Amino acid sequence: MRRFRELVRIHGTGVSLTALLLSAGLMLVFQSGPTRGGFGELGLSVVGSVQQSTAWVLGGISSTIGSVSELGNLRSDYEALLEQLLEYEAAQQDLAELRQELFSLRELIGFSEQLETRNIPARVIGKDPGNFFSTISINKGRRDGLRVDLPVIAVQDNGEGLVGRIAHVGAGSSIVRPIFDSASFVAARLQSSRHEGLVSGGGVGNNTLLMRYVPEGVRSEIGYGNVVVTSGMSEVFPPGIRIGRVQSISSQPYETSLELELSSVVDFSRLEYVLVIDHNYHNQGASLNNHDQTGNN
Amino acid sequence: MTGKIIRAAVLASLMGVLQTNLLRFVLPTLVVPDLALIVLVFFAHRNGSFAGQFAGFFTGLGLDFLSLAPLGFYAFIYTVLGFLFGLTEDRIVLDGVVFPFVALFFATLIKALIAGALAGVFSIDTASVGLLGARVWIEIGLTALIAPLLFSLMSILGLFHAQQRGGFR
Repeated sequence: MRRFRELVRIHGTGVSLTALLLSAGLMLVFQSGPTRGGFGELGLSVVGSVQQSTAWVLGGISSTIGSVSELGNLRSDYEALLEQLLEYEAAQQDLAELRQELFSLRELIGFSEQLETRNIPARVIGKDPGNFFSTISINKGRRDGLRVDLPVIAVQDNGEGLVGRIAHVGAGSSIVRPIFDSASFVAARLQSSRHEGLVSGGGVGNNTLLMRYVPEGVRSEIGYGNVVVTSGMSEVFPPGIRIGRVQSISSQPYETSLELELSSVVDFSRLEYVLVIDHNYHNQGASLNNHDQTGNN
Repeated sequence: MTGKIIRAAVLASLMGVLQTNLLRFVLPTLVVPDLALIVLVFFAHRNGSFAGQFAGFFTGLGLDFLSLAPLGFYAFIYTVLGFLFGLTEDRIVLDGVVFPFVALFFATLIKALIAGALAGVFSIDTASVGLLGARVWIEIGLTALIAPLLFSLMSILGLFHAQQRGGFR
């Protein structure tokens, strides 16, 4: 013991350096799997709350500056919206009739399945602190009902698109693994031809996606711009969420399947708000008290 | 000394947090400069390897929590960098422009090298750590360019001054 103390006194820097590197190395060795355990969650909760505060301040400043510049556009926007409103009023009448017809038809065929999906809106508060990983941080966490592996979507240009899935959850913030991450895999199908495949990410700095395992024989049925959606074959992503559009088609002579390069329908560079989907909500016996966060899909 | 290490780790982690959101507003590029590393190198240069490596460990741990990186990834990198740049204490005189620029150029380069080694050893496939890619060199350039500004600011604010050694009065 005395010799150890003597060693620490003389070689304090070297001993502590070894201890710190060993701690970091052990964390790297034992930190595997989808969750980081209590320590990781605690850390994300603490540092995530600081991140949330800075994002809140920055968001306030940015929206103040934005609202001043938007004042000038309000008049023209108002007139355009008024025109749209008249069109929607006409469409509303048709819709009411269609809805009535739908209810009658549902009753007729005994359609009883009610999809109770909870959508949790969240704001993007940060990206990766370094430049090595494809992290996206959002301002909702465990206390908002988020769990690891819940799917995350975004609504852009009047349509929804897949963003990724929840990778780590803190008390008030979470980390999303986007679909372009190289560890992301999504069971998918072509919306028009219904052929299935597996979509994987290209990694940081490469926003294109790759769809593999599409049979080579169906090449003639696939066209550029075809939409690829989630197939629902895995438990993580519900079916029908748009992932991307076919950008290029290629095949290797030694393989029996096609490789489709997709451009994501979500523009990640202007991602501000996302929706976390809890599609297993009705299976968990959770109460539906939180009506403001509940929507029917 | 403990208080100083904690202050350095908190400030560097805060810089890391700002990297995740403020810099993404200011620089709408995919690559951001490493402000946390600038603070760490400044602190280590002023306070030596012992304090530098501890500040590096806790700063790195803070960044690990905010990232998809496995826990310990940034902690390992920043511990080594805190130690290495602590060795410059009393050996290199801090000037306004050249030292911060050169130090952060090499610090960011070493960071990329260690990240590449860790990704290889621990099979971290999700890390984008290629030294040949443009991203690494953009980060090195941006960090080295911002370093003199941040060094000057921290000097003016009198942050992390080393304790005065005793002498004749």
